[in-house]
Amino acid sequence: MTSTPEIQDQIRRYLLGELDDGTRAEVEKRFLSDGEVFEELLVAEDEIIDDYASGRLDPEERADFEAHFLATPERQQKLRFARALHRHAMNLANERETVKQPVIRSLWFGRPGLSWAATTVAALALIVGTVWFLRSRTAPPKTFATLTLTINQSTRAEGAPAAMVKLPLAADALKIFLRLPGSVPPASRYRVVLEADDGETRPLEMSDQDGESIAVVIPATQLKRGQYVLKTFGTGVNGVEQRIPGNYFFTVE
Amino acid sequence: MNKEWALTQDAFDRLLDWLNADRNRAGIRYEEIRSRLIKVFIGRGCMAAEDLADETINRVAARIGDVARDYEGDPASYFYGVCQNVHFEYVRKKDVLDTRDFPGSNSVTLRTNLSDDCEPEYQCLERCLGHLSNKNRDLVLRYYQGEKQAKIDERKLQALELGIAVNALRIRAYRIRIQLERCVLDCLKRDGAK
Repeated sequence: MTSTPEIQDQIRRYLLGELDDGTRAEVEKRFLSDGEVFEELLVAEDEIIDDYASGRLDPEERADFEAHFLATPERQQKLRFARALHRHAMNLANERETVKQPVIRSLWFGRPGLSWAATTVAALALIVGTVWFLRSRTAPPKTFATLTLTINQSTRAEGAPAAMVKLPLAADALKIFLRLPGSVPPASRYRVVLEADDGETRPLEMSDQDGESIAVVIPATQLKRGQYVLKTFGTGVNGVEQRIPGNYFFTVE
Repeated sequence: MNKEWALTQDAFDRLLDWLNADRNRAGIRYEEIRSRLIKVFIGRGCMAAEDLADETINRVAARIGDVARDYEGDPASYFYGVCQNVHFEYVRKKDVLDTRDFPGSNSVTLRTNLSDDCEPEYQCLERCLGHLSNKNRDLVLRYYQGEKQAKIDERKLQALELGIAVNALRIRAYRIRIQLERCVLDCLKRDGAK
């Protein structure tokens, strides 16, 4: 395989639409004439889809991916396949964790001569397990389903289009990227409030922030079916917080 | 160029002869070039990538007498030149109809949302995994498990166990994944036809 990190990087940037016309043409010519480089393209394509599906692209790459990469139905289909594969791999990992428990039981009851040692090990395991349990309750999510929303100046009653999220979520949490309107001056700090259709409101944890978008995270366990609106507030350099005009809508089904 | 020109058997045979004197190899090369042209058009965001690839091939075939006589070098480069022209014409036509860049359009978000629903793919994937050999199924499932550093470490270990380089494992996993993807697409078509 002639693939090098340089070629891999160039192909990744090609897929995200980040190359200038001249370099893009050179890369495309190589796809046609060099089988190994073409195969590298195919592999990179799947890898970038996997990165997107599991929330591993940074905001800029995400924007490029959505604007450029997802432009064709073929690639949208590939993304759905990647999500399915990701979900299957996660389910399998969970099943394997569950299957380990009977093995421990058979070790415990099958060797009475080792009961003292086993008791010690069990006590240690209990302590470790308790610590793990307590930590895991507050552990940050590891996998994310993602959603990108653009601000809308209308209200839901006026028929503003809402993005859709389907349950069950094949990830630990939903990460929502909120594109900031260009007309609003950048703030030094942002705050996001989630409002449900039953009137309940709560602040959301911010996970990322750059000049163009901010990201918030909602754990999968806290997602319930319903219609939601996100309201954003920005604090300027003068320390004054102001509501950013407009709403971000989404629906959980 | 006469765009109504249709590919004739004679032109197609001469095109294959130009690609390779051996007919089998020429056929393989033809398929390679076609699939790569499709990818190039997809990479440029073209909706009808297959049609555009076929149009490119037709145009080369229409001039095959001159091309085979005068052109020197890798035929793939010639196809690429014609592909550029086909794409240029496609963009010119599409600009009139393109609605993707309307100000305030929420289309990117909507496209992404379409992709969130993978339940039919998941059901088909479960069935398709059953069609793989145990060895391939284990390889691909293990390859795609884990997150971040754990995944990287696991892949290194997997490559070590198989006695191959990580990049070779990457290609092997990709080839199995492609089989799965094709199987899932067929399954979706079958289910859709029911």
